[in-house]
Amino acid sequence: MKFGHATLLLLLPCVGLLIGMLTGVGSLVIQAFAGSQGPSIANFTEFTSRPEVVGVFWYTHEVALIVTLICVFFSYPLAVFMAMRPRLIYLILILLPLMVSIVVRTYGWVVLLGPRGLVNTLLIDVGLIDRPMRLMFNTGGVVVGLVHIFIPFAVLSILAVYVKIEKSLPEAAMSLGASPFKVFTKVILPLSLPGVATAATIVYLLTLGAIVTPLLLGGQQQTMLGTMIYNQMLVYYNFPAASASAILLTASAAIAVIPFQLIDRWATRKLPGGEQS
Amino acid sequence: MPAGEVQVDRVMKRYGPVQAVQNVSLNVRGAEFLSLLGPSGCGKTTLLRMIAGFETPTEGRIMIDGADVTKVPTYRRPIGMVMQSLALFPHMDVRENVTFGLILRKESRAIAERKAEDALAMVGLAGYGDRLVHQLSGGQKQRVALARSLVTEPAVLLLDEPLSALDLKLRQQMQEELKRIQKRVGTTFIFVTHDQEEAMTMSDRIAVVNEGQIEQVGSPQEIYDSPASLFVANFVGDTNVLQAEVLGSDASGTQVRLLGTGETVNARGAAFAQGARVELMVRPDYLRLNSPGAGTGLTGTITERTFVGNTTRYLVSVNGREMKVRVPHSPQVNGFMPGQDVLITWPSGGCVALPSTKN
Amino acid sequence: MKLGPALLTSFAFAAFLFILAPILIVVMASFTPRGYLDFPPQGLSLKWYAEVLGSWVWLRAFMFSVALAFVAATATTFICFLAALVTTRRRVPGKSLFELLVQLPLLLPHAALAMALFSLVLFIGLRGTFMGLVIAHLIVVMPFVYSPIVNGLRQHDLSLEEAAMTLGADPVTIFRKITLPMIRPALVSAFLFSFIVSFDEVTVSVFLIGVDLTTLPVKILSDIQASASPAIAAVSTLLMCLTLAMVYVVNRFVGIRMFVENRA
Ligand SMILES: Nc1ncnc2c1ncn2[C@@H]1O[C@H](COP(=O)(O)OP(=O)(O)O)[C@@H](O)[C@H]1O
Ligand SMILES: [Mg+2]
Repeated sequence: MKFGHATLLLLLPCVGLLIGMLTGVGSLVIQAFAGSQGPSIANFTEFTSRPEVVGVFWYTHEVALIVTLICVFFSYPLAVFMAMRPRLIYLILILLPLMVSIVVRTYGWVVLLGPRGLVNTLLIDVGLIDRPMRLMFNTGGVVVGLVHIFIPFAVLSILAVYVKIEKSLPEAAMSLGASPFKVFTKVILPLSLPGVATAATIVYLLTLGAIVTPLLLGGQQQTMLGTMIYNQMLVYYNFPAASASAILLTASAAIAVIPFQLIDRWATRKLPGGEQS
Repeated sequence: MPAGEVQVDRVMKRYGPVQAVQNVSLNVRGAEFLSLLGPSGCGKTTLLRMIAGFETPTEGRIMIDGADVTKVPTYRRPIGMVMQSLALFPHMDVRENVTFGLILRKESRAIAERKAEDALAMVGLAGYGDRLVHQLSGGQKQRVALARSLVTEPAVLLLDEPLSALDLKLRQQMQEELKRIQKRVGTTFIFVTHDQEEAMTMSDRIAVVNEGQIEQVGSPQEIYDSPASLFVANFVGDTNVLQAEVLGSDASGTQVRLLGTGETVNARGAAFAQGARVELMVRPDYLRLNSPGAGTGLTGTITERTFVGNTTRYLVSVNGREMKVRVPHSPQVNGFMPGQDVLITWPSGGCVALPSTKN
Repeated sequence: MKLGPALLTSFAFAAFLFILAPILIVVMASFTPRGYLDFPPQGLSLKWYAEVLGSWVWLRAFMFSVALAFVAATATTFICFLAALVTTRRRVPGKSLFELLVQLPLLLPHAALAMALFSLVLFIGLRGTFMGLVIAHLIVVMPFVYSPIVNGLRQHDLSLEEAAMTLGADPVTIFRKITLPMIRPALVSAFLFSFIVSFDEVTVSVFLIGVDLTTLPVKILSDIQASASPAIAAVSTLLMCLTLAMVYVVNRFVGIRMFVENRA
């Protein structure tokens, strides 16, 4: 069918949504730079001048890095397994949790790790401990919960790239005398690296922005940027401070994923379409 | 029944800087099988799509049966089309595909289904109505596409390289069948192909297209025996091209002298000025090989001999130039061997003088 | 060489167990007869299901979430379908910027996106209203809808439409009989997926709920913080059954692989 100029009008509803989104971002920026007398950066200096807030900032990135590393490390072999045994059931096992709300999945960890949770009960019953251990409201709990929630994203990202690797390439490498180890390090790993970079980017971003999981599994000492924004906004009603935090969160996220993007660039530099993207 | 005459009148199509079709005029006669033949990228598809109404000519008009359809949308043109991809609707079974156009024309379902069954029978697929598209073989898909576009009785059927996806055997079989069906239904077929053999075997007339222009329109034999240009000569069949100089030329033919050997040859071809440089075209299968001294002709040495079944191909070095000769095979005759000296002769009228491309 | 695959397989099953464990635990916990969560459950009881299903508060939150997800998914699917029709078929100035912006909700950290949408809804004076949540959800699910529809349209063979035209079909007929049936799987998948995303959404919604207007996930979130009632486990289990049913529907109609193939 011919699409003339008039059909551009069909874009309008979608453009309207985008304008709405940008309006939100814009008014967020305005809030963040609002001072008592005109524009100021007071909200940002307030942020950087309080050590406990700066501590939250670095702690958030630390958790994000740990969660990213764990996710990538465990999802790679899982993706390899799923590529080797392409069964629908495995795919469903990975996809199903994605479709369950993160509140419910985090709640599962509360039930598991809580003071009266399964793990503590078992350990007490077996007699290994006599009082419940502190399994959540600490960094470990937060990391476990976040890894659990984001690992499907990582697996799917790696899998998407992995299954596209030409089957004849490892065979060709073997025919040229490469050992299985060499085949992996010289052929498969370099070709699947873009998937790893995507996985790392996604998990890092998701962890930075998480609210629910650190809220439920973290304690007072484990405040992350997401929970801090949540508190600033919904507990203290400090809209300007929350806006400034959100902007610092976004800016630091943009900077933090650069290394992953560079890895992706480097890994695809010789592939068709690799240089320009 | 409509005659199915198509007139393409000084049609031009530009895509930005690309001149896909340049000033093409073409009269397609009613009920004929006309092929548009040319190399890939020469503008055949563009021309066909303008007749179909998918593209609007930048300049010029297109008429079908005397009516100017240049601005008429595809769905109101009296045409049918078989696409290169066939474009069978995958969400419909064979019957639904074939009745699609009939139902749009407000035929009752009963009549549409009867006509569809007839059309399927015509293409040799009687009883295939319930099959799903993906259950058909390549050749069967071909037939369904043909039935679907013929069942609405269009004045003109446009076909864009519909056989290109088939293997050789099946393609040859479909070529014959297409030809037979075309004669039977009497619909005008405009058939796009880049395969000269296909065009030769099927067409009443061939229009040879090159770089957006039509170089020649004629019967397969005219195109083969009397190409109008060097391009046509080269594109349709094998040729030898020799440089020559015009000694004399009139309506009955042209006498030329070959450059290099000085041989005098009588050739067909339009009137040329005396002394003009021309190209002399001669088909390898017009040439004969003889032992040296058996008459007048070009002497040379066999450099290569290839047996290809029905013929034997020789490469003969004449005066430092290679000439191709093709000799019908017969089991009794052993022919010549590489290294042997031979005399090349040809019947008079076997050569065509063509305007030289280099001046 | 034999050891490798065996190791990989056992690792994979351990990983699947890790992924499923918290979900299974919730299901098991929901059947406890006690007033608090305990393990292993002392007996089996449906009393928490009875409590939840008989509770007006939970039902209201559920119905509100369903309405929200339905409106958001329907509207976004329609809006993105119109946009994708244009962007896949003609040159659109600024198309790459347009597509980047469509993906922006996925690229922004969730907490920042939530703040931006909160600002928007506050700006247009709709905080605490159904419309406010709808607008925010439209934007949240947009990238999940746009990509599969664009992929569906790209795979759609335009020569089918041309063939229909040579058979006498006008543009409206072509749209009804060819285009729509051909990309229906993509539309259905986009709709169901965005429904699930919207239904599960909590990070953005928690900023936008009203005094007595809350979505089911947000209610679960606040209840987890406030109490240890096994009712939450029962609700969560019901929610998962609903999700399971939807995944089943998706798999029946369009195939679950579509979700993997259509990820941006
Ligand atoms: N839609 C288009 N936009 C730009 N150029 C086109 C378009 N369609 C065809 N062309 C150009 O026009 C020329 C003729 O193309 P086409 O008619 O498809 O050739 P053929 O069918 O003979 O192979 C080619 O150079 C092609 O690149
Ligand atoms: Mg073509």
